[in-house]
Amino acid sequence: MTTNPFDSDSSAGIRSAKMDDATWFDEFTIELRLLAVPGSDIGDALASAREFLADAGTSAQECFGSPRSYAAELRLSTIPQPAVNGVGLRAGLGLLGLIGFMVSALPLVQGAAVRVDLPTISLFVVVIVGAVLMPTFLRSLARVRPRAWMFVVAAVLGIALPLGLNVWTDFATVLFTVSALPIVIASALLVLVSAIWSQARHSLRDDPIVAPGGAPDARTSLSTRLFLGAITWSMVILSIVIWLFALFGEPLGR
Amino acid sequence: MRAALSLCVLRALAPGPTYGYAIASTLEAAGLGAIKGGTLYPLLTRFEAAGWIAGEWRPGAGGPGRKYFSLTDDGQRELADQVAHWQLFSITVHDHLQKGPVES
Repeated sequence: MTTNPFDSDSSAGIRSAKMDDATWFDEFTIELRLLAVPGSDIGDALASAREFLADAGTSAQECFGSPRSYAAELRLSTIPQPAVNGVGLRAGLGLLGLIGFMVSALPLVQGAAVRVDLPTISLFVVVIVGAVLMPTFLRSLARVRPRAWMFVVAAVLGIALPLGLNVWTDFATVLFTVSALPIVIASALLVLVSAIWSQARHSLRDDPIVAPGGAPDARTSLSTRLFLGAITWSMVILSIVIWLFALFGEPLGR
Repeated sequence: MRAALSLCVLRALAPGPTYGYAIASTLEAAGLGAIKGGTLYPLLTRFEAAGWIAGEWRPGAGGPGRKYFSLTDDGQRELADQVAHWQLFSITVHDHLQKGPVES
């Protein structure tokens, strides 16, 4: 293939060997999703790229450059996004409810008040800030290729953070106490509203990728439905685990 | 140079409906070099959004379907306008190159 005098991205060919076409199309799809391009237009863009590649006989990376820059250069129409990011809001509400259960379930079972200290307040602040930053975080996370060390780091953090918080709480001064029942009720509402809202959104606002001239699959695959269900109801499931520990954890510990 | 490519792509569509790789091949045969998909499709998408061209998917024989593009009436007018502008521009540049700067 000769050099295209109009193409400024002539370095694309150098990177071509590093990415196979399947990966390129996966990343291209993610980039178009991140740009909020409608599913039908994504299907059109994917089919156009495949059509051109079938004739050109080169790799997708060489032919179109990086998935991110190509998706941006296409400048396809986008779905207007709401001012408030629903994903971040729902995740934040569910997480607040979960933490609410973490601090109030055991005191309620034991008939005690919830002791509010600096670690507890810090945790709530971190969750709220995390929910606000969620859209930016998700965009970055979507572009990350999973690596084994990431799962190891996540597992270590998942164990170390609660343990560290627990140790900190043991030494922290109690600032004030609150009755456990209102926190339990508020937490239950937050967890349920978050899950039901997410479930309704999955059912009502799906925007499947439709190939040109094709119809969207009437039914998503079982594995996809199970995965979405697990994500949607994960806060409820974790809340049940917390309650099981609160109700039966102490007798088991003896 | 991008403007010239834009004009050449519109011109390649003038004979009738055609598809992405055929447009790239036409331009390469005309001496404009190999046009990559990453250069061509953003232009076609922009033309489609402007209403200058219309896209239609046609089923392929055994392989993937092809998206055929054709000039709309607006596209024909745009091509005529751009050709006129380009000719005026090229004459101006040519004259300048021949005569050099005008002395005051």
